[in-house]
Amino acid sequence: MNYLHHILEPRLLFPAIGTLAIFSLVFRENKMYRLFEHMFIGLAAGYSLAITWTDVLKPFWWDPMWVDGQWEWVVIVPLSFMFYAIYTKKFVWMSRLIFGFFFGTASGTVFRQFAGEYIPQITASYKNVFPDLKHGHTAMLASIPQAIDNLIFVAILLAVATYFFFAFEQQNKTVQKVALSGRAILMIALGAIFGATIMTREALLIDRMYFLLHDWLQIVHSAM
Amino acid sequence: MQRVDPRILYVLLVVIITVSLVDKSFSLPIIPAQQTVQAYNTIEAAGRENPRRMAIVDGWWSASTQGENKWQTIALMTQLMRDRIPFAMLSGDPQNTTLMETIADKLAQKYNYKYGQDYVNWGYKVAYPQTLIGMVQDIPGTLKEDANGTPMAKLPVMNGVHTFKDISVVAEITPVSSLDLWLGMVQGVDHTPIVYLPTAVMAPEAFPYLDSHQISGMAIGIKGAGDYEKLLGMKSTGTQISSAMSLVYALIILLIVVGNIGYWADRAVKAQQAK
Repeated sequence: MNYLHHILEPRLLFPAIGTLAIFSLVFRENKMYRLFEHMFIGLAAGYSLAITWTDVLKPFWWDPMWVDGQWEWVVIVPLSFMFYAIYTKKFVWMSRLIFGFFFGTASGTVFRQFAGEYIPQITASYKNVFPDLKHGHTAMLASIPQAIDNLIFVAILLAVATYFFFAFEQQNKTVQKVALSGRAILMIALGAIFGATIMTREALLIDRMYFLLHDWLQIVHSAM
Repeated sequence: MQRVDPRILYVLLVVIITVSLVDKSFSLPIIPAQQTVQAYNTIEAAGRENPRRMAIVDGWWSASTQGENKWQTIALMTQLMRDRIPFAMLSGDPQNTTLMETIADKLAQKYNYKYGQDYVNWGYKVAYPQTLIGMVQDIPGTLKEDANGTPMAKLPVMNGVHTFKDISVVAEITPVSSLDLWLGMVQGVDHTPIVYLPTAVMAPEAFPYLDSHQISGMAIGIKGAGDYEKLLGMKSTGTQISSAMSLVYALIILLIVVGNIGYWADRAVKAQQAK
């Protein structure tokens, strides 16, 4: 009786039916799937709207004005409406002002981000492809695997960079072969990305099945 | 073999997942990946070198990717609490702040962690790049209060935390490209160690960061969660799902092989008929 009560609990029953309805698409297009798809879209839109108010506008704009008395935040309203001026020929200049302001601040931020993110990668690309010859025989032998690793890295880097070098026509046979090998290596990388994508999709499937079997039907038991 | 009804394959998939989850005794051997070991060791080093120095757990995941990120979060927080490392949670997604706090509160009971004293939820932040830029200068001054509205000065866990120099490690758990922000705004400035726990789909793009030591380790998707549990010496849901995932991959590989055999056999038959 308790078990029946558990699986009929709306908090679990509704998501379980929703999950099964969405899964049903893989067998055939059906009305249950369509119903839950539309419900999901409606819920997502409503949720986004609610969260914009509760997590953004209320704590960062409404409450500072009405609770803390910081009425200078009212300036945000006309500034926000300037975005919509893009839809009128007469006032389009107003939208350009606000867009320009945001482009400026965004590009400053992006430049900082770019420097912090990519410059270390450029410097890390300069790798020593030679074994250590200065510190004796043992050190030299120990550094050989790392030197081989670095050599492979540099060779792949050059091959892929050659493939993406479009400034001149690649007529030289050697350049063509290097570029071709760069493309082949890229294909391997894309294959890895595709395999990883499948892993994510399967993880989502297993997660929903885990919900059905563990949380709802309680067939699966876990440590947490 | 090339004209198998896809629905048969879906049923096979569901059966395999169900059996691997239901059978408690079922588990495949887990060999932790090198990048997961690096992530684990980075946290261990943080705890060893300065146990009372705060870590940050930054989450961008929501219910839609909890299949991977939830188990990563549980494994990571288990390590932090086991090693008695104080930590703060920060969220780039409104759902995430509740999801992560629920996990932390549940684990806190087991490890006797106290909110405000051992861990804190800084909550969801809009304008994330600007928040990070502000935090580089002054963490409590930028954040002002925690997710419950308690001022930073009243939280004992925040004692001695001023800038990222007071942070031992940042763990980034995410299904989106939020790592770029941390690398660009924080790591590039203060060289704070970052461990990355992305969904599997995000992982291949992050390997160059691992090579350039911009991130100190990486636990990829559900496989990373399983690896992490192995390193922690525990066998929980991450391990269970990781084993199910391995079986799914075995099925996919088998189907690819069978499909290709069918393709080549079909070609051979057609070639013979043409003769």
